[in-house]
Amino acid sequence: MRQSKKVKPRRKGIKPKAHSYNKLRDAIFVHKLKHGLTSIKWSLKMVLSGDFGELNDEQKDIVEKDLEETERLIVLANNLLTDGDNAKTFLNKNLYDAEQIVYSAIESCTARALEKKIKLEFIKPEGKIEAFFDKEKIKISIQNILDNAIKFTHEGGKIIVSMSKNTDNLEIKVQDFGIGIPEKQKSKLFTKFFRGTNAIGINKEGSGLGLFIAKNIVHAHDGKIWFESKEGEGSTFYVELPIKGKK
Amino acid sequence: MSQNILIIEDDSFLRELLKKKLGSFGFGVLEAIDGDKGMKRAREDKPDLILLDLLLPTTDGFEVLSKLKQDEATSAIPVIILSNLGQKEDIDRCLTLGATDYLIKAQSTPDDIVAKVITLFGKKQ
Repeated sequence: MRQSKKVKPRRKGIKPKAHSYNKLRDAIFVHKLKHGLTSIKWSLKMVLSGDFGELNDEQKDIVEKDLEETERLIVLANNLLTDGDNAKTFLNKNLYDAEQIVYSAIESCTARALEKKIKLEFIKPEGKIEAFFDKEKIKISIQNILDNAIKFTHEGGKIIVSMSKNTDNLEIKVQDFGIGIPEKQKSKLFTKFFRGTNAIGINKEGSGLGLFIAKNIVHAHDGKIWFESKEGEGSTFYVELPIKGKK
Repeated sequence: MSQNILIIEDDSFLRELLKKKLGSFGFGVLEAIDGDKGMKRAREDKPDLILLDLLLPTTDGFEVLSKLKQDEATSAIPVIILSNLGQKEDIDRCLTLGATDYLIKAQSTPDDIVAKVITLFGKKQ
C-alpha cells in the first residue's frame, strides 16, 4: 500500500548535523548487529552441513529453527535504517512451489496460535503454483502478516489462509475475524515502528516493524500488499506477487 | 597442486569458519588480520585468489583493493569482496577498482562463497 510522503518544510535554526550524526550512529549500530548475526548464521550453516560432526534429526531441527530466527533478525536489521539508506532488500530469487512456502510460514506460527487456541486454516490452491521469488523473505512476509492476525484475534478464534492465481500473479490471502483495525490507524499500518494499541492478550513482542518489513519485501518483488478491515469484524490481508518476476 | 586463497578479514571467528570450509574443499588458506598485513602477504605469497573484507584496521579494503590492482606483482590475482556494506555505491566502487565479485556476508553462507570460488577457478582454467 503506497502512501504519499509528507515533506516537512525545513525550519530555520535546525542544525542538520544532529540528524546526520544520529543516522551515522544508527548505521554503525545496525552494521555491528549484522556483523554478529553473520557470525551466527555462518557457524549454524556449517554445523548443519556436518562440518563439526553429524547431527541427529532432533539437533538438525533445532539448528534449522535457529537459522530461521537468525534470518528474520537479519531482515529486521536491514529494515531498521531510515528509508533510503541501507534499507534495500536483497533478494535471492528462484523458482519455488509457493504453496510449500505459505505452508511453512503457517507452520512456524502454529505455536503462537495454539497459545491463544486459535485455529489456523489453510485452503490449498487448485493445482500447483510455481513462482519466481526469494523464499526466505516471502516466508517472513507471510509470517509477519500471520503474527499480526494472531495478535488481533480473540482466544478460540480462527484465521484462514488461502491462495489463488491468474496468468500473471499469485495471490495470498490472510483473513482473520478478530477486532479489526480502527479507521484512524489504517493509513499508518505499513509504516515503520507503528504498533496497534488494541492487541489482545499479552503483547510481549512487537517492534512495529513486521508489516513494514512485509511491505518492503513484497514491493522489492514488484508485488502488491493491501488490506480490508472493519472494526469488530476482522481484517483480510492480501499479497500479490508476479509469477514470473525479474531476476 | 592445490590452490591458495588469502583471506583478509579482521574478525577471527569468521576467518576461522572460512578457513575450515575452504580447507574441507582442498584449498590452501592464508590469513591476514588487517589491510597492511594483507597486502604484504599478497605480494610475498602470491595467492591464487583473495577474499577481502572492506572494514579493516590499518588500511581499509577499498585502498587495499586499489593498491593490489595497481601493483604489477598482485594485479592479476582475482579479488572477491566480502562485506556487510551493501550500498550500491560501495559495490560499484569495488567493481570499478577491479574486484571480480562482491558478496554481502549477511546474505551469503560459507557454501555460497566456496561456490563462487570454484566457479571462478573453473573459468580461469
